[in-house]
Amino acid sequence: MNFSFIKESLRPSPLTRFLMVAGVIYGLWYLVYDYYLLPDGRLDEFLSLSGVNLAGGLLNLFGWEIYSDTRILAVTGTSGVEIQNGCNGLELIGLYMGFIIAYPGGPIQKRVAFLAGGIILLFFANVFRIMIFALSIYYVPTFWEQVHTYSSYFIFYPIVLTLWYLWTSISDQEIPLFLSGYSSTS
Amino acid sequence: MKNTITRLVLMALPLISFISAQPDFPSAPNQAPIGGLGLLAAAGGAMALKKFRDKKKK
Repeated sequence: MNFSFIKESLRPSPLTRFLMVAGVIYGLWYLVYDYYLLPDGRLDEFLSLSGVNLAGGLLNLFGWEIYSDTRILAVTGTSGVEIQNGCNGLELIGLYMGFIIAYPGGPIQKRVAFLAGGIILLFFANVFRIMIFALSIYYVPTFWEQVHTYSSYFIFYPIVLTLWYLWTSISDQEIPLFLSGYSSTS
Repeated sequence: MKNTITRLVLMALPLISFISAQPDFPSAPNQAPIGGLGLLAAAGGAMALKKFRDKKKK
């Protein structure tokens, strides 16, 4: 008997396959993060400390008088901002990577370049965000809640969505037909 | 069936960040966690959905 029609009907659509792969990657990422990276603390610490140092250095370079103590950055005279785990962009980087890895197509070299470039870009975007926080506490402390709540939407969303869109465009141009999940006769 | 699975996965994706949300930290100085990652994940899912649909139309 020919069971190919059963095999064909059980084959997930490209979207389902993408969502399943993305879900597995995110699940694994959170497991690795919660059970290894977070308790270990070194990656979080590196991202937080380097972010605070870079943001403080840049603010200092532009003429603001700042003080920083490990994870805390402040313009002198203010309480400042503390970059704890969960504030350093590691979770966002995991989300970004999940999409790029799960979306089918594109050569491996470009995928790796996109992952590396995106991670670096997100790191510097977070440095910029830390600078904005330190300055907002100094200049507009009453708007702290708004600045802190909506900064992600204005800083990270455009970057991540643009990178994802670019990656889908690049992948779609270079995707081999047999990987796309669609028949050439459709 | 496929559509049901797709919808379920699409709806569940943003919940990942809520499920594994980290506990609050002490109040001072100001903390600045990155919010709205569930929404970003949902936007990514919607973008992929549109791309796959466009590809299917071609």
